[in-house]
Amino acid sequence: MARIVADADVLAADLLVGGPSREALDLPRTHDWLALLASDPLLEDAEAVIADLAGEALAASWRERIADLAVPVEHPEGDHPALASAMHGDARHVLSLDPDLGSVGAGVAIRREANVETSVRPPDAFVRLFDPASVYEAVFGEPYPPG
Amino acid sequence: MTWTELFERAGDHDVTEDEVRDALARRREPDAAGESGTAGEPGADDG
Repeated sequence: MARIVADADVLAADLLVGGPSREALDLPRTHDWLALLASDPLLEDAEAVIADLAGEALAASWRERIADLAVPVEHPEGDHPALASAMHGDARHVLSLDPDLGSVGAGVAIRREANVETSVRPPDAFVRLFDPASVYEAVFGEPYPPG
Repeated sequence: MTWTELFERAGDHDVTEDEVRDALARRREPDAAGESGTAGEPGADDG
């Protein structure tokens, strides 16, 4: 199964802003072989951002809904929630709105630390690059099933 | 509640990506408790 992580800003923007963050998260919503990994701290951060900007009721509803979509992953307390979710869940892609997290230097540090090929990208870049057929064939070794 | 219903409810709030980014930055500010040790911590020498 292909795995991605969306940082809390992307999770919140998916709900509150739409646009590229929603396009990106529509991918795991519509392709059941694409897993969205998220630790509890990551979901708590997103829930807190949603509550801050749009109220606790909406945040609580979102938290209930995301529980059906996100695949849980655990990591040590205090680690960066998105990066640690990717490292411990073996995700190749981290989506983030933070330009510092997506910098070349940060990417090198993540790959060195985690010893995995994990890329950090803004959601619009991920959507442009993600080709479901290619990813499916690479992960499963068989042709992408016709839609 | 479906995603569609959630998005409809959320649409009442006029939020931008910048506001989301800023809200997360506030949430994860370094003075939050429990930050693990990393290189470059501010000096906290107690004499």
